[in-house]
Amino acid sequence: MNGLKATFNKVKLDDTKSNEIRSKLMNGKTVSHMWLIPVAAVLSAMVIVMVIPSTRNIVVNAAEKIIQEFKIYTGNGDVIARVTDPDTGKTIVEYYFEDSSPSYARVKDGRLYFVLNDEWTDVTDICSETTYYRYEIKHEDGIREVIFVGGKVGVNTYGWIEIIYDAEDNYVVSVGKIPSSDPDGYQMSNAADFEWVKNARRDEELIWNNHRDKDVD
Amino acid sequence: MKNDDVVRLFDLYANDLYRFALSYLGSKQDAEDVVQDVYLKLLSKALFIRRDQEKAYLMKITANACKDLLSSPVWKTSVDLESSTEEIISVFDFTDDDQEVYRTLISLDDKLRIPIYLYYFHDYSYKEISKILKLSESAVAMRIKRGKDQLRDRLERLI
Repeated sequence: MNGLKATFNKVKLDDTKSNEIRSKLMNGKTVSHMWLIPVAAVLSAMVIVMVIPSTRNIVVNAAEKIIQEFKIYTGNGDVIARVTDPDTGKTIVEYYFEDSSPSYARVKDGRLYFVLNDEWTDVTDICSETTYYRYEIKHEDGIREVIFVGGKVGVNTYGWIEIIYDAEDNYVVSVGKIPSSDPDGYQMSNAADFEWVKNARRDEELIWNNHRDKDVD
Repeated sequence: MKNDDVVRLFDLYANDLYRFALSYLGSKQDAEDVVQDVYLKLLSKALFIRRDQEKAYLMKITANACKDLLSSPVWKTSVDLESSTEEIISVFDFTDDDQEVYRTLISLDDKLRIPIYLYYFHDYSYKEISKILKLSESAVAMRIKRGKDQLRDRLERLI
């Protein structure tokens, strides 16, 4: 063992302080859960919440019946979680944005990149105001993240959208960031204004419907 | 976060966070306060963390809390590092070798000290350190190199 390890291994919280903190944690009050949209609006003005249309009733209804709890730390560092409120039995989806700056869509020297885990993929030639780049992450626990990067750099229609599915392929939530064309900076935007977002949603529904049709009676 | 979950994280990682905060701040009292604040904040957030990322996440939050404290004008005027160091040496019953290691580490500027600590105590990679400290990997590598250069022949005792 090196000297630093040998020395710092002797350093521990003293028992009195440890017990004091532990007691506070055991008896401390937790906050009540909040619904997704207000939480997102409070935490980040750059965030758009996109909800897949109600035509996907099967997904919506299935989501409301979910009683499992899952947690996910997404590729850009955000935490998304879904739990069932024990008092009402309702499904609640929550976000925690640890850092509002990370983004799947980054611009460098006029080129648009899909960025994940410090890997930069140039998607400039794939993306336009109507087209997008799609990337899917499948986690070991079955949760899927489907990420879209689209738009055009020069006219500020670029950005990213992410859709999360649980292990049973139920839609959980979607989130994204798209800057506005306002020269003063980012503002809340309506994702539906952007053609590439509409196309991504439509294509994603088609993929999902084809997949689910195998299981629906 | 549920009380049980936070207590579980406390039992698992409180000492790691405490050592980290101490290496950052050099003050026993402030390190204790940071650890308490980090865990109390978990209670107050509707937050869930993947199991394989719990420790790294907590280290990141601790680093943020320490940075905030270090940049506070109140901290700058109220902390006497020499007295704090003497207290730590006494409380943890450091041997002469321990004292030298500790004083050597604390003598470094915190920008160099923290990456050195994370690298040599926690065996974190440059990439992992970059995520905890929100630095680029190249910045982490440079700071560790500079820290090693400053310590030079004293480094043998440290590592």
